[in-house]
Amino acid sequence: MNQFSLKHFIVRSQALALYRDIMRTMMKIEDQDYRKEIREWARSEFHRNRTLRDLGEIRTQVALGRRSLNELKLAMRMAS
Amino acid sequence: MLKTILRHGCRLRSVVNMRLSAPLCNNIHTLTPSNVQANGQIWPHVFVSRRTRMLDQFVKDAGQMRTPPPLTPRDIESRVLRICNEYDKIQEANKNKITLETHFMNDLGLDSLDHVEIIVALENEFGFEIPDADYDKLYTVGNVVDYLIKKMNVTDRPKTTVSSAPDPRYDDHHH
Repeated sequence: MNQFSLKHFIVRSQALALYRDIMRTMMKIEDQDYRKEIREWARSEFHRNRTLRDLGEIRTQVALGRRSLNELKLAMRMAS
Repeated sequence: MLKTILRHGCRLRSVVNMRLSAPLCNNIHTLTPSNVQANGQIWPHVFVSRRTRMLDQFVKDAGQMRTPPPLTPRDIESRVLRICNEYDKIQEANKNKITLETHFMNDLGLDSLDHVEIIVALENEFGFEIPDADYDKLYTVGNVVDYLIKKMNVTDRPKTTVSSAPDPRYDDHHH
């Protein structure tokens, strides 16, 4: 039986896209310590949620991640 | 007269009882010949022209303007391997055994998130963004190198550099 549907595949792509955007944003940070902090934060959040299977929960987490990323981008713009 | 002197970038030097070297003497424009005494001492002041010497240095530096060396496939390969070796999630045992055939997931035990991190690091290294759809083609080191070579139009023969370095043919006559 096919455990993972097309919707799962789409949601997984969205999660990877979010991770990619976080990494790209992280590369723009000059301070190496802050960069490491962001990377550790992202890794721990994504690894913590990697066993989620419910589509609603996954979408919620991805949305929360997007919001965090937007806050990070805003903070970077204000700092520069 | 002081204004004229300053405009030409000369500097007033107090050389009381100073013995001057021969090259310095060549650049000195003294006020009167009687300033120079028999044993080479000059009193009380001389005007030393540094402007021409500084200008020469500027012209020499500008002529040797440097452009970055052209990219070769070997350069790309070494940079990709270096980025992979610097990635912190790779086990020490695997670090120096990465080849073109190495598969990120199968050989190095990385997952999809790590793969994203490596490709983003490569984007940062080579200075351009790799579209999301292409990430699926880049699971082995060899694929990455080939993809980069294609995207950056790197040929085996390095392209001739365009630089403003002076043409040695025209060194003897200036325009």
